[in-house]
Order: sequence, then C-alpha cells, then structure tokens
Amino acid sequence: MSSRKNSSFDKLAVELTGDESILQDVERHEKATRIVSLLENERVRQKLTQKEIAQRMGVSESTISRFEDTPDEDLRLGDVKSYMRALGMSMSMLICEEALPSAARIKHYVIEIQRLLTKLTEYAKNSHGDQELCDAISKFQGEVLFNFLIKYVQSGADPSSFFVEMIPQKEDVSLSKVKTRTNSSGKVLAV
Amino acid sequence: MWSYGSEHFDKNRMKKYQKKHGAEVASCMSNLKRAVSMLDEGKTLEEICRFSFFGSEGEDVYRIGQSAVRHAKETRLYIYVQIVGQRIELLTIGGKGTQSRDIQECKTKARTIKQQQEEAVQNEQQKEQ
Repeated sequence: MSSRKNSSFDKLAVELTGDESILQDVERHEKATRIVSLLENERVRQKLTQKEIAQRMGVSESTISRFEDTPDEDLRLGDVKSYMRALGMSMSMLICEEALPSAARIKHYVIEIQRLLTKLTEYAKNSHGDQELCDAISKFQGEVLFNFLIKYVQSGADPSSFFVEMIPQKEDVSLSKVKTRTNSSGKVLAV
Repeated sequence: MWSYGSEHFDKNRMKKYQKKHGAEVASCMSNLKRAVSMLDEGKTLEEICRFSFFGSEGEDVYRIGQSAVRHAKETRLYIYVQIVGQRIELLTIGGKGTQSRDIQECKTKARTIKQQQEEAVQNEQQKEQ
C-alpha cells in the first residue's frame, strides 16, 4: 500500500492507530459531514449557542444537538432550511455534473453569479424604477464579470472558452474579435 | 502552526478501540483535525468550545467527541493543549463508561507534562548560568 501520509496530522493518525486506512476513514467522514459542518461553523461564526438557535427555531436544544450530530445523508431539507433561516441565511442550490473538472465548475459558478446579477437588475427596474440604481447594478455586474475575465486570462486560460459559455445564445459572437490588451508582464489592461 | 505530540498516548488502547468502533475513532480524528485547523486560523479555545464536539475538562485538558456517526458509541479523545509552544499532546481515548477515570488519568498526565517542561526550562537556565 502506498503511503498517503502528507501532513503532520496524517502522520499522527497513522502513528496512533497503526493503520493507514484511518486516513481514508477520516476523509470519508469529512465528506459525509460537509453540510452539517458548514452549518455548525456558521452558527459558531455568528457566536450563537445551540440554545439560541433552538429558541429562534422554536424547538428544544436537544433537537439542535441531534441535528448537528446528523450525517449529511440523513439531514432533512426542511430542517436545513429552518436552521439556515434561524441563522439569517438563505440557501441556493447549484446543480452540476459530478464529473466536471474544477475549472468547469468555477465557470458554472460565474454563470450563476451572472444570472443573479441580471435578476438583481431586473428586480431594481421592476420594484423601484430608479434609473440610477439600475445603472449602478449594471456597472457592478460588468465589474464582477470583467474582474473574473481578467483572472481567467491571467490563469493562462483561453478567454474565448469563457465567453462561449457566458453568451451561449449569441452564436455570432466571435471570440476571435474579443481581444485583450496586456502589458509586458502579461497583466490584462483592457478587453 | 500547531504541532502534535503522542508520547503520553496509550496506543494499544487506541488500536483496541478502533477495532470495535472504527467510525467513532475516524470521527474523533476528523474533529481533531478540524479543531487544530481552527487554532491554526487563529481561533481561540473559547471559540472552539462552542462546537458541540469540543469541551474543556479543566487543567488545559480538552475532550473531542465523535459526531455524525449513526448509532454511535459515545467516544472521547482527550488532549492537553499547550498555548505557549502551540502544541497538542494526545492523551487517551475512551467511552462514557470510563469517562471520570479517563479525565483523572489525563489530568495526571497533563501535570506530568507541565512538570517536565518546567524542569527542562530550569535545566536550560542552569546551563546558561
């Protein structure tokens, strides 16, 4: 069996148990408790006790204790939503293929951000009709996407692959026409 | 960065415990990793004690429990935390049944570690003189 001991923690875990499979078991446990750990982290970040969350949700403290002691697979969506509401947070779900590589997943997130920004602009238009606010949101949207494009180009990726996914409806957008101007160190100055 | 020590840890007990309750041991180790990464991020012990898996037993001895394990046997991994020197000494692992004995044993170990460190400092000072 090849050694997987990379960190001081890995070395310690193997030393204590005398069994390298402990590392896989720990990893499996981390994966199985990702959501519940995130939620508990957020409660602690907000300096809230289980009792305070329980009061906000109108349940007993032991219910919260049990909830935080539940593997992700056994969590009920309704309970997760209530817990998040008690934390003053909302939940959104991003569905993507499990086999997608990290870069494609990141792109997926950016597309989702773009969708939310567009929604925000529409919301501003519909509810307030304030042109100044709409313009500010549009400007913000442009800045977010522009900054991402800069990072994307700096990472050495082809900017055309980014635009193809961002504007899938417009087939006539030729990415060869989108040119980036860079300085001597390769920093993007303009698109 | 925080470091680990296991000189005072009963490894035979851990191996026996792991054979019977592997999922609980993996969970305790995962929570240890979580706690230490929070210490590395600069969180205080007081903040980490807000997590249900982490608690103080006094005299700088802390317990790390298992979490999110179906039908779990209540399991505790005991550590001694040295703020100065940023070091975690692993002490023992045990269940609910041996809890009070484990805590007493851990406190004794913690006192021994403290004493050894004080002696080491004194020896250093004497050498310098």
